[in-house]
Formats: sequence, structure tokens, C-alpha cells
Amino acid sequence: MMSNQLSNSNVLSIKNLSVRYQSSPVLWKVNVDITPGKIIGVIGPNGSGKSTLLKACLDLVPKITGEVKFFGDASFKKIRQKVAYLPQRESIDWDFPIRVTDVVLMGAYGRLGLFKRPTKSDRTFALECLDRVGLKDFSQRHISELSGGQQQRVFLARALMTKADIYFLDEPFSAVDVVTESMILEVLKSLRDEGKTLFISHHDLGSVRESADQVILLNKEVLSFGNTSDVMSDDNLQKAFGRAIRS
Amino acid sequence: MNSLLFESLFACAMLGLACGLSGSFLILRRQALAGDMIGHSVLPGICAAFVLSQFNTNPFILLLGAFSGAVAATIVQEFLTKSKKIKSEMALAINLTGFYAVGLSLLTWIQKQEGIKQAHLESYLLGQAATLSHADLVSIVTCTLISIAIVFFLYKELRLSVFDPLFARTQGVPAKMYLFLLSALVAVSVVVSIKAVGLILVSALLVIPASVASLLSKDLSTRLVLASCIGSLCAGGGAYLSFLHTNIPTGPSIILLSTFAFIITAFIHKKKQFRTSS
Repeated sequence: MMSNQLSNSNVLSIKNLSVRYQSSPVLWKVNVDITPGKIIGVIGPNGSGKSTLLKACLDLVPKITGEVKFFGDASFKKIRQKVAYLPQRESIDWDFPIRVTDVVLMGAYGRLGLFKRPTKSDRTFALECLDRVGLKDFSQRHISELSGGQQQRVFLARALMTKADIYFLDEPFSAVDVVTESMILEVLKSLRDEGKTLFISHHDLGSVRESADQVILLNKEVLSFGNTSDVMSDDNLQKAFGRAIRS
Repeated sequence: MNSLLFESLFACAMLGLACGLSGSFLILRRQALAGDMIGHSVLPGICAAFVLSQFNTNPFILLLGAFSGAVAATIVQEFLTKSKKIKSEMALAINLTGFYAVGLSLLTWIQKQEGIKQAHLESYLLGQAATLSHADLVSIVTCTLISIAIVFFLYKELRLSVFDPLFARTQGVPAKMYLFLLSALVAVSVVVSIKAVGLILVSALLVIPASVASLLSKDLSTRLVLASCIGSLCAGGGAYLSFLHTNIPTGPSIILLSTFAFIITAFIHKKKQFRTSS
């Protein structure tokens, strides 16, 4: 619904964004406008600021300059319920004592508010989300019993549980096998077809060509932004990675 | 059983419950040593409160001093780990020994003062449940009930903040605040426990029952209930053993019983694992 109403305006506007960790700059004067219903790939070498760009959009790291606006003129605080985030798997303790279904239900906490527990309809929807990523039969398993790819799919189900319009996914293809990768890609493309916008950081250039409509090539600053085939030219990739890249 | 003994055992059981509850979150956050740091940091707080209050032995003033020591150590820890060059375990070791050294120096100075009413602050080192007063019992029960209420009503937010603080923040759950609340729960559990368990061993009461529970269950809510029950039984049982054999201080007695429970559980767990794999 939201996506249709906003089909002519930017779903995300990043203006003059700079981020610094301690004394060294990580992102420098980033300017990007994103229209709805697209998969945007964010690529660049290690330390180029891919994760930081996603985190800065979600107010998870402090900005030194610039602003990020959603749906025209709204700050993240005002529209947080329309945004889903999938963090890098390295930031998670996968031995945490929790069942798959409880992880997915965390996606409803933003709507529930303080003191309220998930309802029966939340639980039904959590199972639907798990079904969509092919893990309905694993709902009562503990997350420590799953493979890396299954864990990523659980987090994708949690992102679906938020019923968001914009998805920020930080390396969702990390530690997944080919079958899982194609399953995740299928879900992401179906979300795009529903009019959702997906902002995905990648470490593997192969999956970008296959999934992204547009690409941001990053190395602390935006080196190139546009359609996937234009941005991922040999010249651009060599400029970003410092050597010839085959993807 | 006389009422004084019953009160002391009940107080120990309650503080065991509080430690089991807050200790479970502590080990989930992989901060088992933080309890040790807080335990050792309360000594300078108690001594400073005793001196600054002009040698007042009121237990509430000493508790306030203990809590201030715990808060100061937590702030110093936060400050030290801000620099990437100082690793968390390095900061913990420096903090723990630094605060303890200040505390021991102050304690020695106090013990050498003549003409003042001594508060027997050295009993805080190893703990003695027999010295618990009715006021101590009231503070222990109050703090335990507050801990239970916080964990029960904020379970969903606390679990999310520990499991995935970044996602929590995107959902409008202030993870930093909830993690601070958990640290405060640990500090409060330590402060109310030191008189019975002693500041040197109190961290074991935070860690051991929670570790036993982690071997028995993969579910957080079950772990919390188990850790609370195990902490309560070990603390109450250990205190009773100490009353039966007066030459064993309460702290070591409680920790010996907890360690015994851990060894038995770990043995059964290993045996079960071996059977499953073969």
C-alpha cells in the first residue's frame, strides 16, 4: 500500500552523509536517492563502509554530517515500523537459548510495545513467515541446531514478520550454500515484486548481478551508483577493488 | 529451628535466587568475570562509606557505599573498554585488582585506627550469614522481589536486547538501557549478597547456578527458573551447613555446595552426550 502511494517519490534519500569511527572517516559525503520497488545492492571492498551505510540509515551509528530521510521527509524514528533490519551473522551468538519461532516473533516486538506478549495471530503469522523461507517444520528447533544457511533464513523470516516496506539486509548470503542462496533470492525478488524496497550489502559480487536492479559501488565514498550492468563494469570494479575482478 | 536461624537461611535462599536470575543473563552476555569485578569493587565503597559517615555502622550506609563502589567500577570498565587497544578481559583484570587493592588498603587503615567503633568490615571478605540482621533480610527480600518483577515483566525486551541489540534498537527497543538495567540487577544482587557470601566468592554464586542451568536446558525461561531454584537451594543449604559446622564460613560453604552441584551436572551431561554420540 505504502509503496503504491509513494511510487513517484523517493523511498530513501541520503544527503551528504559522513560517518567517522574515532578519528578515521568510514563514509564520506554519500548522496543517494532510492525509488520504491527495487533491490539495491551495496558493494565494495572490505572496510569500504557497506555495513556502516546501512547502520547510519537506521541511526545505529552516529553521523558527523548529513541526513537520511524516508518516504519524502520522515526521519527513521518516525517510520521505524516500516523498516526491517537483518544484521551480519557475526554479531549474533548462535548458541543463545532460544527457539526458531521465538526469534521470528521478535519481528513483532516493534508493533507490540512494552509489557505486551505476542498474540495467537502473531504466532500464526510467524509460522507463515517461516513457511515462506521453507522452515515451517523447524519452528520448535533451537537456533543452535540449525546450519548457517538455515539461521540466515530464520533471520529473513524475522524481517518478514515486521511487515516492513523497506528491508536493510547486511550480507544475507554470508555462510549460505547455493541452494539456500537461490531460496533467499527467490524470497527477496518476490518482496520486490510486491513493491517493497530492499537495500542489501554483499560480499559476493555474483549474487549482486543476479539480484540487484541498482548498485551502489562504495569505497568510503560513492564511486558509482546506477543500474547494475552500468555500475559493475570492469573499470569501475578495478577502481573500487584495486585489481581486476571477475564476478 | 529458632527464628533467627530460619531468618538467616531464608535470607540466603532469597539472595541465591536473585544471583541465579541475574547471573543467567551475565553468562549469556559472556561477562562471567564482571560479577567478580563488581564483587571486589564493593570493598573500597564499604570502607569509604564507613569513613565518610564518621565510622557509622548502619547497614544501609554500608550498602549504599557498596553500591557506589559497584557503580564506579562499572563506569571505569565502560571507560577503559572504549579504547580498542584495551581488551575487555584486560580492563576487567586491571579494574578488579585496582579496586580491591584500594579496598584492602582502606580496610587495613581502618583496623589500625584506635578509639573508633570497629564495624568488623573484614567479615565482608568471606561472609557470615550469622551476622545478617533483620534489616539485611528486608533489603535482600526487597531486592529479590524487584529482580523477579523486572525479569518477569520485561522478559521480552531483556531477551531481545541481549540476543540482538542492533535489531532491538531498530524496533524501538532501547537495548542499551535494558543492558544497563541487567548490569544494575547484577550489582544489586552482589551488594545484598556480600554480607552472607563474602565479596571474594559472590561472583561464583552468580555464575555456578546459571552454568548448571545452562547444562540442563536450552530454553531461556526454563534456565532462569532452574538457575533461581539451584541458587536458592545451594545458598540456603550452604548456609545451613555453615551453621552446623561453625568453623566453615558461609561463603565457602555455599560455593562448595554449588560447585558440587555443577560437577555432578557436568558429569551427567557428559555421559548423556557420550551416549548420544555413540
